[in-house]
Amino acid sequence: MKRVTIHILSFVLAAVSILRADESYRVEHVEVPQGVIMEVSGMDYSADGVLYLATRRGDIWTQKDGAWRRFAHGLHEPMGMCIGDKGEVFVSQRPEITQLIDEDGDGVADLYQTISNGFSMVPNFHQYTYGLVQDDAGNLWGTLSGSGKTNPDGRPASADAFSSEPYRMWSYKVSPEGRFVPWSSGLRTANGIGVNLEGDLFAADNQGDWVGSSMLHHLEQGDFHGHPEALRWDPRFKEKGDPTKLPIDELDRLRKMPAVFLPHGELSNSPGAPLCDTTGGEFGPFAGQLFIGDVVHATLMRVALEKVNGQYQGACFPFIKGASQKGAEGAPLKAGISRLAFAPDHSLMIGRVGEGNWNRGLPGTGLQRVVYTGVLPFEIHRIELQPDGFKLHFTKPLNPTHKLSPEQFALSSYHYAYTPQYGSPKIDLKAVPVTAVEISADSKTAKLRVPGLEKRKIYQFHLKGMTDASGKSLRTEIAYYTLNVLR
Amino acid sequence: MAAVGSRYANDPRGLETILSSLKMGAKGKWGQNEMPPQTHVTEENAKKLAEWILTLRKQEEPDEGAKAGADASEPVFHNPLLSEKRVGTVVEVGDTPLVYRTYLPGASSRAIAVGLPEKQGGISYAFDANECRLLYFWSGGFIDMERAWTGFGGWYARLLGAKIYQAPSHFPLRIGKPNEWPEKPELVFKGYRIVEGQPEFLYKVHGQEVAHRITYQARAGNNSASNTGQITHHFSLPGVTDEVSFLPAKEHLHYHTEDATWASGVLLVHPDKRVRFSISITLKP
Repeated sequence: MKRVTIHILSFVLAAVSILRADESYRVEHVEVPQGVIMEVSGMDYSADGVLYLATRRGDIWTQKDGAWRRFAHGLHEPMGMCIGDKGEVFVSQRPEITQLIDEDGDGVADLYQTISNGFSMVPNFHQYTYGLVQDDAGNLWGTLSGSGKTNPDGRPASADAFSSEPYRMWSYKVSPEGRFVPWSSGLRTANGIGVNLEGDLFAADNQGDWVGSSMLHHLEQGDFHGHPEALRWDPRFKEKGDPTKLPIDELDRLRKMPAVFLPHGELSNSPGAPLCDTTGGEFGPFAGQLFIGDVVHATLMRVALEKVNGQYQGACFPFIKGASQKGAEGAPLKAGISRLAFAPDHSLMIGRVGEGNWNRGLPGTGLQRVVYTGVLPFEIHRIELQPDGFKLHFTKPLNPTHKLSPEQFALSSYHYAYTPQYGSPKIDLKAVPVTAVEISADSKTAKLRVPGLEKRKIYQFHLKGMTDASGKSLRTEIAYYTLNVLR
Repeated sequence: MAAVGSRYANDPRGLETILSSLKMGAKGKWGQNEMPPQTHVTEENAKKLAEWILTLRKQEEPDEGAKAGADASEPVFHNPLLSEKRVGTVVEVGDTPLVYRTYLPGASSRAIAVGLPEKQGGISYAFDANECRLLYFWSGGFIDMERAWTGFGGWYARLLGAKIYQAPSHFPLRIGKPNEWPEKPELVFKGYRIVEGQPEFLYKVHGQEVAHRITYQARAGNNSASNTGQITHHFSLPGVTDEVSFLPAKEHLHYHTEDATWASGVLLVHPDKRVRFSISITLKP
């Protein structure tokens, strides 16, 4: 009952959020073939500008110059796809990682070549094979979702996830030779994977048991991300018995904290795959940052990371919040956002899954896109942790005639519980005083003094009444900084 | 939820139905998902909630129409871009064969359903990608993907027809002396190639590459719905030098081949046919 309640509430939240009439970004509807249920579960562009779409119903579509074509069919609920550096089409489907090859060049795949099936799977709705990105060495990367508890007839019996066989709840690497390498563990159901400009891998896990709120993880070999079920397949835990019976304190010490939390209910419910802004500024001032959509909320999030003591942490922001309203500028952003890709024209393509298990909140399938108008948005560009506070970097100079007071930076902190329970409320939520504000000479950064910073906290910012030189308000007043370690 | 609103919007009892569902819980109205009773919702709030759900349809975008329609009574469409016809979740074979990877009854988790068009027998079969072998044939329709595509999904496809042939449960090929063969041969599935629309399954058995095509020939004068056709396995084993044999089923079936002869209960492939040979099985009327 709790789950259903949550879904209704999430929906209300999504429905009341307002699309900002936006001079910097507009949302557009993209036509897909009529009558086709286009549940986008994988999306990428080839070097020659062909859009490839994978759908949950097992089709691969291509679109070139507005013409759609079905490139492949009959894949088993593919949940990831990427185009390799030589134009190869790689798909992660439930049973395997597959390369689709058009041998006769007629635009339709003839060879469905198994690259790797080095993991186990059984019929279970929750055993998704997510993917897929390729690194410079030609390795393919993805994640394997945990099983869901089901009744004998396959119906979901509880919301809890578990790792019934290897390597459920792990991230994986598949080498160019097809060798399957379990990479990091403890991901409940991380829908998709992304890579930043530095080549580091990220995946966003979905709120649930052991996952207090949805969160973005940096995946390094051997990492344990928090869901203990996955440790069954970690040779280092062979002697320890049932990993879920380990004391929570011990598990908490073992786990790698997420690079950022994506606050449940406010920003996220079920995040999709992160996508790095590789446009070099063509999509606005956020080059190198990550964008993540949400399947339940009609939300695009933006993540700006930094490294502190060698570990990623940083801030996330709402980027566009949509739902069902029509905005002044183009179409409203809709829910179901699972996959993102930058089009050759540097617009951000949005692929919506939104059927079956993905049909929560505002359901829907198909494509939208976000276009940068070229008008520089006034935003917090990133948040940099200081030994005694935070430095906020803005995309534009702050209004020099405004005298800023600490009260304009409403700051609070909290954390999420780490327990087997499904999700967590905000724990120890409290206001945090800002004692001083210092604006840089170029008016583009504000240094906030915050005494008594604590690690393993989320700092929630609400900036009030701030304007740029032209008197325009901040496009986004909300930010969340995940502070794992102090500088 | 907007789809709920759409479904009951023009139903005079719509408000009542939603209210009742909220109070008592509901299942089966929308696939297999179950909604428990919303006992924490007061009578008054439940009514507000139900009224609100009914208003949701008004916010729908035009492009959501197909989706909402699909929920109420799924449309029949034959998209010119698709070779098959999807009637709701029922998949029908068109002019070209369909190869659908999905969960199939009586198969391992890695299964493949193949539907053949009328000119190729108008029949369907299941291949197991873990065990690299034919599982069974069925005749009638192809598959219903309802439990794979709707609700929580991720469940078995339903066969639309009756099984007419069940293959023996062993991997049928032997390379080298059949009696020196391990009980569980080492098999690696490598995928499939579409050759003239039909899949040619690719796998390795003890390192030997195999390409395996399966065809069906309806008996002359009979339509494909009958169970009296002939199944043919076409094997190619490039570069094989060792002796090759085919292990038949324990029960008596009518095997036909020009490429092999019976020897100690197996079909021993002629030395000059090892690289490419066919074995047919005639189904008894």
